[in-house]
Amino acid sequence: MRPTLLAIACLAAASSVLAETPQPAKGGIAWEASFDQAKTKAAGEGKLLFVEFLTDG
Amino acid sequence: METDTWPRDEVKTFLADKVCVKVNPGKGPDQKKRMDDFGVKTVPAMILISPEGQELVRAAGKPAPGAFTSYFVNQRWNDMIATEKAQDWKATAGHAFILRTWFPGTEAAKRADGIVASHGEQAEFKAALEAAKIANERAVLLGKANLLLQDKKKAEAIDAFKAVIATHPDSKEAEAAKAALKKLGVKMDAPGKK
Repeated sequence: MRPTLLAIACLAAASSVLAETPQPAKGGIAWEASFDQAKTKAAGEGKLLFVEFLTDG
Repeated sequence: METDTWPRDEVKTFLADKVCVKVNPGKGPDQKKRMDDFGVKTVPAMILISPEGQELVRAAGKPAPGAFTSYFVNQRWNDMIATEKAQDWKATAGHAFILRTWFPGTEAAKRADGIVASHGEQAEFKAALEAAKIANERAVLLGKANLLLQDKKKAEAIDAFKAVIATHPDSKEAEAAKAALKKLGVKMDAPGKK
């Protein structure tokens, strides 16, 4: 594989992992990246799902 | 919220055992649709949802930072007190189950314990409490199967879906498990077939 293609593949893989990793907020609360994944996770782990509806700013 | 609510220790503790997610309608049509699906008209708003998908508590607007936790618990407490006063034992049992299961250690949960102790042998109350418990168990069982599938553990997910059907055959969760298995290309044996 050419170096450029290899770099692109690595970046794509890293982005995919980041997109699915809960993102800790400033306050230390772990926010899931996707509603569907969060809903499935909550049900599967027998936990409540907390949804915040917000807009930027 | 970022500066005055989420950093508070009692809020972090309250949310530590919950799965948290943000929905921002400004970030795409799918997020806007999600907001519409929940009937949320204005932001900020917050909703707590059980593993069954039941909306437990909704905050329209922003609770005062210092009263964030009590805001969610008190809604159910007030509901329970009202249904107890009206002697609606089925609803009271449902509220008591929610408070004891999802808000343990709170004053409301202790009050729920007291109500269960007082009415636990009353037939309608007892049946409703048991039904709530079983409904939660069913939902978590199906949820585990879906989570395994989400984690790409197909073989384990198939076993988990089959377990849902075997343990709760006449439930909506069993129907969902059958649909999931069909989607996965798994053929189910006809009833009675070995």
